[in-house]
Amino acid sequence: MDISSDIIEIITTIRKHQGFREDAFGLDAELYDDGLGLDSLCVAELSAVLEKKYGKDPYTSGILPQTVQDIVDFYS
Amino acid sequence: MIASRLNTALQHTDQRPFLITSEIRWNYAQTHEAARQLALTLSQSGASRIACQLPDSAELVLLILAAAVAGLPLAIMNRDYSEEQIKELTSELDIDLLYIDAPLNNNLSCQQLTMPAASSYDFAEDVKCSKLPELDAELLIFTSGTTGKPRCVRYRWSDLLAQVRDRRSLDNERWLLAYKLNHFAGVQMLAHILSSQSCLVLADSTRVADAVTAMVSQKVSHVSSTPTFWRFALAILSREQKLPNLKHITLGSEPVSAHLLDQLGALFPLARIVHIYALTEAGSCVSVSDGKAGLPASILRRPDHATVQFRIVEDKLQVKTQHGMLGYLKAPGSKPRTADGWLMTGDLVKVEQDRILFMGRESEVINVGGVKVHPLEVENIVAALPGVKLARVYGQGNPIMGQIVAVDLVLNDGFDAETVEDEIRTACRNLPRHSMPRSMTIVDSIDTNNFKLTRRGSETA
Repeated sequence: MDISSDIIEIITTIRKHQGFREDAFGLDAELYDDGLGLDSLCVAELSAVLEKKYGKDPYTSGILPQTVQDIVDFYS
Repeated sequence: MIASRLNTALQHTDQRPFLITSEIRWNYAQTHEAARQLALTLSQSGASRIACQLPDSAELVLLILAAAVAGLPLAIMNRDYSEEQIKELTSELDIDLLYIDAPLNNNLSCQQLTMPAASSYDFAEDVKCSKLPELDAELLIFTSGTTGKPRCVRYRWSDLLAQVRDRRSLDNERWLLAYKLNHFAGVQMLAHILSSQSCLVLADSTRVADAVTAMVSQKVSHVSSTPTFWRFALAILSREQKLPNLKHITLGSEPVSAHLLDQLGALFPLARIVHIYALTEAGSCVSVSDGKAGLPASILRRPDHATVQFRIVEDKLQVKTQHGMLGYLKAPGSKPRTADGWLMTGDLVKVEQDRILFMGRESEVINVGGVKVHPLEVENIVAALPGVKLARVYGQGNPIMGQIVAVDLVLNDGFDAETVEDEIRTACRNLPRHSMPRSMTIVDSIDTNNFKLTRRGSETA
């Protein structure tokens, strides 16, 4: 699986944990508020999962990604 | 005093077993004589304060008794202290004589001696014992250090013995040593055994598997240990063909969950199950045998003259006891007590339905974006799930929330990680969102110290 698919799967899983509907989304999806709706606790979990999987994550590096693509770019 | 307990035991039960290992079997008369001989050696050494770093063994039991009989302060050092730490501590505590099982390389400021093997004692068939002088002595014990640097706690034997009932057991109790003797709970067990003229059984090692083996092979009837020990032991016992015939189970040193009490009750339906609230600094404070987690709130209404009193201040439990420690040694900045003599336990509690429930240690509270989460509340839910053998909940540093709730998990055989993680999420669904575990890690084992979970979370990011 490529990194884009991995990131989408991670975000889908976190949204599922929060009871969101499992709507498909693409790389251009906005992460917060009216986009995928991730709030601070979801983002905290996302940061922890990314850190565990890849050994680094954009949030710990001081970057605040806005879209799924921003996260993919961080690892590219 | 220890000598008075040994003297009393001789009047009634000199042939009663006191100490059983796979190598020796000493009765009270033999123990009395061995302690007298070693006490004489210690007195003649000219040492004014002694220390030891020995494994849990007949030799360590004997040294503890002999030092007390000789009226000499004894510092029992943890087995995992490095040579450098031993060097520092012997100097800091003004130790003259150190008993070890293997010579240390460092140049110490004190004399080093090895203990003669207990099996080398050659007793006359009918040991004649003379009454031992009844001196009081200090014992220096170190706190477990599960939440920070261990501290050296000073106790008088007279205070340690005042915490246990001075009554001969009619039941020939055989207690397994399932605490380490360099910790308060282990020493307190020894005090209880001497006071009740019972018998102490030592397993071949401090491994839980060896403890379980000794329960069966040495016909142990009473076991006291931590909930963490019992969780490991239950996993082993569930595979055993032959269960020990336990009449009494005590749990202490950690909060006890209702789930664990139920599991033990189901496996040992004839055993009396008790849990104890005790602190190294205060000693044994209360024991509860009603099968419920937590403590009865009625203890908050004890009168001023009670031996141990309890109160809750800002969700934290405080105790006042007549027979606690003398104080910390060489820690002038430590102020564990309030001006009016109450010991601040550091235990966070809440009262629900006339029950005091433990929420965790003050130092373990997880701060998730400014919201306090008590790890024990989460841990009790997670640990009760069938796939979970052991769980440790802690705060993990996080750039967004400061900390998040993280769980380390040891799984029971036959369970897969994904299923258990899903079950945890489902089980925690009723918790506030900040309390939900956000990071779960499957591990092979979780660090323990004296059969207690070590609880150092990662620092705030």
